[in-house]
Amino acid sequence: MVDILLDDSRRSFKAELDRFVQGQVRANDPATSVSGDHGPQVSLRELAALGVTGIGLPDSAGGSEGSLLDLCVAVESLGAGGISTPAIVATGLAGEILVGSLRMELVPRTFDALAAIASGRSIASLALMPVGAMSEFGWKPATAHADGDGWRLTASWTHVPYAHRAEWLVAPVLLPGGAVAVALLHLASLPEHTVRIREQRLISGEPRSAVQLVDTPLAASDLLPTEAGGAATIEASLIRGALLHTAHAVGVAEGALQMAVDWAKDRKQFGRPIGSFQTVSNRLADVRIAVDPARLAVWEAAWALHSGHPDAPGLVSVAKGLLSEKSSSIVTNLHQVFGAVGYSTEHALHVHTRILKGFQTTYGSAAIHYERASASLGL
Amino acid sequence: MDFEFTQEQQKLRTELRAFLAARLPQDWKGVLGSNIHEKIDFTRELCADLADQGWLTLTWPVEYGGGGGDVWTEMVVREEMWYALEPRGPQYMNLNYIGPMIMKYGTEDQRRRFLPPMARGEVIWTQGFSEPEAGSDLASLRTRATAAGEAYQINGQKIWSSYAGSPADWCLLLARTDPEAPKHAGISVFMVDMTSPGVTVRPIESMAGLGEINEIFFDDVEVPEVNRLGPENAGWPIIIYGLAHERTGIALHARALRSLERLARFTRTTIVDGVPLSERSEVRSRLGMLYAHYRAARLLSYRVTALAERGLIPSKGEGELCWIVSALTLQEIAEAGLEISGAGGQLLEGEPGAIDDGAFERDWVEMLPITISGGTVDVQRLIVAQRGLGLPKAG
Repeated sequence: MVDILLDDSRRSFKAELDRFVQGQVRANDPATSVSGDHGPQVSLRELAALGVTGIGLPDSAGGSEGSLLDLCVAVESLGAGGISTPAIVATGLAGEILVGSLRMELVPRTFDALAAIASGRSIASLALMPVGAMSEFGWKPATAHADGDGWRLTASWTHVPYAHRAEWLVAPVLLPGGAVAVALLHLASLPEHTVRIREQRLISGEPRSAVQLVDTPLAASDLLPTEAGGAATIEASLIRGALLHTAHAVGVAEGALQMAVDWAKDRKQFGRPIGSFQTVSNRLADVRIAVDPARLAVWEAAWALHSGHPDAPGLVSVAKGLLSEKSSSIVTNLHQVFGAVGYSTEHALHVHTRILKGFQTTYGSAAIHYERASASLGL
Repeated sequence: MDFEFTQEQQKLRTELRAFLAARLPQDWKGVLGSNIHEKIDFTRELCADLADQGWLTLTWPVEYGGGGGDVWTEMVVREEMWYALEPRGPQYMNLNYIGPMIMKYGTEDQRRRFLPPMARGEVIWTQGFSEPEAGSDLASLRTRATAAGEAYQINGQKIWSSYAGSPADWCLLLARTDPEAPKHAGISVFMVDMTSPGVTVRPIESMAGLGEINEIFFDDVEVPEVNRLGPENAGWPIIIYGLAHERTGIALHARALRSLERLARFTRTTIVDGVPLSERSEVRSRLGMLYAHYRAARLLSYRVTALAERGLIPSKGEGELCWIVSALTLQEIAEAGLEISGAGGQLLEGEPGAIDDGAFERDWVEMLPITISGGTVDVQRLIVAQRGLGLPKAG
C-alpha cells in the first residue's frame, strides 16, 4: 500500500535532530569568512551521540542500523542549519562500501575502520573525481603498477570530501590485469612522500581536498572484497552520493526559506510587513514549491534504493535534477527577499547560498541527471 | 514507507486499461474540440458502464451507491481516466467535488435524491461559481437569491460554467442571500434544476473550439428551499471544501505522462540527418526534465492523498501546491511538444501531414487555461504563502 509520509519514529528522530540543529544555529554567529566551511561547526562526537554517524551501519560495529532513508532524514536536518557534515561521505558512502565488504569477509582492519566511523572517532573519505574532469558524476581509479607482492599507486583526484581530516581513504584502483578493485588506505600509515593532501577553497561549504598518490604502496590486504565488483560498487556510491547531497540540500534550502519567511514577517516597508506584498510572498511560495517535491523525490529514491527497485538510479536522478535545476531560482528568490542584508556575511543566508550553489554541480548537474532520467521514457 | 500500489490495485489498473482499450473509439481525443455533443453522449454511456462495473464511485459509501473503497484504489481509477483523456467527460466533477460536498453538507433527503443518480452515471452537473465581475475574488459574487416562501428567486449571471451546454441536468450555484453581510458571510449554495424556467445557457467559443465553457443567465428562477445545500449564508466554507476537492481530485499528472510519452515516441521515431531526435543529448535532457517534473506532480498528488487517508485536511496549501506544479508541468510538456515537433506539429487536426493528427497543437491549446481554471496559479501561490508559510495578508 502506498505510504509516502514519514512514520512516527522517523518524525521523532527528526524532531530531536532539529532541536539540536536549532541550538547550534543559535550558539553560532555565521563566520564571515567566505572560504571553507562557514556553517556551525558540529563535532563528529556530537553527531555520533545523536546516532547520525552510525546510521545504516551494523550494531556489532557500534552502528545504529537504520536505512538510507534515515540518513537522508538526518542530513536534511543538519542542512537546515547550514551544517556541512562528513557523515555523508564517511557513513553514507565509504561506510556502506565497508559494510558490503564485511558481508563478504570479516577482516579486523575493515571492521575497525567501520567502528571508528560509527563512533565518530574518525572520517573515511572516498576518492572519485580525477583532476581535469568537468563533471563530478564520474570517477577514475588510481593506476596500480606491480611491485613485489603488491602494487604502487598513482592518482590525482580533486574535490575529495574531507580528505584533509580523514583517517581512511576508500579509492578505486585499476589493477594491471584491467580489473577495478576498491582499496582501503590508512592515510597516516602511508609513507609521507607518497600522499599529498591539500585542502581546497571552493564555492560551497563542504570541505574538499585535492589528493595525489605518488608511488603509494598498496598491499593485497588493503583491497576490499566487493559483492558487485569494484566498478559497480563505485557507481553505486556515486548514486548514493547524489541522493545524500540532495537530501542535505533540501534541508539547506528549507532552512534558508524559514529564515526568509521570518524576515518577511518582521521586516516592515511602506508601513507593512514585506511578506504581505504579493511579489514577495509569491517568491517565497515558489521556494516552497521547489523544495517540497524534491524532498518527496528524495524519500522515493531512498525507498527505491533500499528495496532494490530497478528504477532506483533513475529516481535518484529525478530528485537530484529537480533540486539542482531549482537551486538557482531558490537562491535568487531568497536573496531578493532579504535585500542587502542577505549579501552581508553577518547574516547566515550566505552559508546556505554557497552550499546550494555548490550542490548544483556536486555529483552531477541537472542536465546530466535529467539525461539519465530520460531512460525512464525509453530514451 | 512504500511508493508502490498493492497487487490488487495493480490488477485493477490492468483491468481498467483493458476496459478502456476495448470501449474507447480508435481516434479518441477527449471530449473537447469537434463533435462535443456526440462525445458527451458517449461519456454518458461510458459512465453507466463504469457504474455497472463498480468503478465510477469506488470510494463512496455503499448506501449512496458507492463501493466503499480506499483512497489509493480511487487514485488508480483517477490516473487511468486522466491517462485516457478523461472519458468520464463532465461527470468527473460529480465524483471529485460535487458529490463529496453533498455528502458532507447535504441533508439525508438531499443525499438520497442526488447521490445515487451520480453513482449510476446518469446525471451531468455544471457549476455556477464565477461571474463577469467575480473571478479570483469569488466572494464578491452578485447573483442574488431572494427568499420567497419555501423557495428562492434567483437572478444573475454566471460564467465559465463547465459543460452547462452538454446539456447539464443540475447546477451547483453560489448566490448571495444577504447583501448586507460581509461578502464571505452572505453566500449560500443551491442545487438548481437546469430545466427550470428562466435558465438560459449561452455556450462560449474558446481557443479550443466550441467546447465546454458557457454563460448561464438566471431570470426569476425559482429554487425550492429543500435544494439549498447547508444553512443559509453559510456557503463559503462549503465552497472552500469543494474547491479543495476539485483541485486534488484530478490526476493531472497522469495526463502529463500521456503527453510526455507521445513526445518521447515522436523523438524516437523522427530521424533527422540519419539520427533519431532522441539521440541528441539536449533532447534527452529536456525530456528527462519534463519526466522529473511529472514525477514531482505525482508525488505532490500522492501527498495530498496520503494526508486524506490519515483523515487530515491538507491545510497548508498542499492541494494548491500540487495543482500549481501539475498545471505548469502540463503546459511545459505541451510547449516542448510544439517546439520539438516543429512545422508538422503546427498543422491542425485533419490536415494532411499533421503529426499524430494535430495532437501537439491540441495538447497546447487544451492546456493553455489549466493555470487559470479552478483558481489562477498566482492566487494559489498566495494560498501557499499565507496558509503554508504563514505570511500576512495584504492590508
